[in-house]
Amino acid sequence: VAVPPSLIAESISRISIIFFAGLIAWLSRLVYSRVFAVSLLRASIKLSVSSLSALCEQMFAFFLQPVYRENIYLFERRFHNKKICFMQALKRVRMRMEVTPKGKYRAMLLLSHLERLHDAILDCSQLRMRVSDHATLELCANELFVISQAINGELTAMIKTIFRKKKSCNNGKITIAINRLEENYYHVLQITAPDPLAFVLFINSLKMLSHEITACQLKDNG
Amino acid sequence: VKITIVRKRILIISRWLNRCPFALQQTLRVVAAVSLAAIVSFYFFNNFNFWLILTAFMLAQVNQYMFFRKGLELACGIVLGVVLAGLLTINVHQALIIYVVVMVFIVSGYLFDNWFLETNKLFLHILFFSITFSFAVSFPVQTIALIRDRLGAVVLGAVVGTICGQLIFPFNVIDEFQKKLLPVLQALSGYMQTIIEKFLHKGITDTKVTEIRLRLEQTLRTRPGTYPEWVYEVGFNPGLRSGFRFFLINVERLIEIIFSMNYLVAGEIDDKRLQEIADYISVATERNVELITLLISFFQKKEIYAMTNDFTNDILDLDSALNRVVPGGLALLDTVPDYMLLIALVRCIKDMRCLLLQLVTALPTSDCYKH
Repeated sequence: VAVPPSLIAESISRISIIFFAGLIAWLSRLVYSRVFAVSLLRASIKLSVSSLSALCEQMFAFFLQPVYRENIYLFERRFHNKKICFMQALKRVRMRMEVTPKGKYRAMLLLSHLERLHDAILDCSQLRMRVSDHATLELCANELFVISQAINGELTAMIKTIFRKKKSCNNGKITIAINRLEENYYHVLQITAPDPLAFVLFINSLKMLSHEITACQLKDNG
Repeated sequence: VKITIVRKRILIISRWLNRCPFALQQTLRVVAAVSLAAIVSFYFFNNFNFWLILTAFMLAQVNQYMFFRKGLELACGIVLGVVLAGLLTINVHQALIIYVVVMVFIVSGYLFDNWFLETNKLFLHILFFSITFSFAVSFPVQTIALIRDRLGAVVLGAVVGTICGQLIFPFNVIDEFQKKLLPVLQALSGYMQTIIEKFLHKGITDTKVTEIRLRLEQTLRTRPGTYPEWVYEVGFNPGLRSGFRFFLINVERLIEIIFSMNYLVAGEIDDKRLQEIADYISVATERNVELITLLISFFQKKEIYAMTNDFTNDILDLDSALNRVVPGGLALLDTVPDYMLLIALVRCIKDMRCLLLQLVTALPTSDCYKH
């Protein structure tokens, strides 16, 4: 059956309209490519920080949840998932950094700090392997909870202010919370814990983590 | 001759399909399940039976990584949804009451999942039940006979979905686990060596460390199905479950220790103090690498080679060297940051040794493996 010429003409006109619409979209993307790239990079950095916050929260769940010992596989799997989320977010940052000349240097600095933050969190998480008894952790549960809240608060504040000129650089809460844990260590844990060295190392790791958060904020400010 | 050629071609295609990404394999499973369900539906019901196809679609999501028991549980959830919705629509005729009951079911399911279970193990069950229940209420039945027909279709759909989910792209659990874990262990070994060499100033650049770190991250940052996460699934082979999970968790912990070590070695340390302990750290790391190599060799060749080295004295020597360098009392550790760094690093090496020895001890002997 022969197709009427009018129908062919209509089809061609429709295809050309769609083609031109696509061309306009592509051109606008090309013109504003830098803006798109920068905003995508910013979004992926925010996502990385938010994954770090989730990772940190999950790490404190090991210490604060009494059911951890009965559900080791479940908690470990959740922790693994959070780590993978962070790694995937970091991969996106690296990919977007390659195509974003503007702010690349700043993003690279942030990237290395995020990696260090991740490593510092994993360093803190070693406590769960070194202290097998939840009763020992219960002795400092309040302090751990406050530290967890302070770190998450600081990371959430960092997500909100990343790449902005107005900053809030104050991790005083974390320092106060760590000091409280240290006091607890000197008064209680040092005597009662089967392996006090594990807590010494944990407190030191927390201090380094706090230092990393400050450094990350300062670099972002700079 | 023709049969041989066809066989060869089928073999090539099946090998190619087995190498396909997980997403493609899963899509093909679901497509096969839905198509087979449509054929079965025409054969038994002379029409497209919605319930049969829906159940086959849902159950095809239960692939080999999720295992048969989970499929059975989900099928029970669907059957329960159909029966409850059927009884409700037959006995209650006020639409408002039905809506309230549906809301109560969904909200209570949500609350149950969130409050009473600190695990999300039942999430999929509640989701499937809710979907089935909502559909069954939306298309009400008038008689028990119709519920029976619907149940028949659900059971047939469950069979079709499970068969397609389990039999398309089958795999050997043990081989698959070893295959997936091998690149992780290889990357782990390389990263650990590089970190320690950098710490001991053996000419390793930051670029090299970053490159090797990226390699490890790449092996971990995997697509679904390329990292053996499925050993955590409910219903995974009870005979293998505890062993595989134990192995995977310990490997994860090893990775964490290595990232932690990477963080520690970035700190500044006095050269004089480092020199006093450098040799001992080097020897202990070599032993750890040797243990990882043993694991790699086992996964590659499926046999354990005899080890001649001693794995206790080097750690004792390391401890003695550390005691010579750092002060005895814990209270004095804060005075010099180097002390804390060295103690943390040595502790990481010791923790790693402990985990590695546990893993090596847990390896099956060649006789066990054959069985």
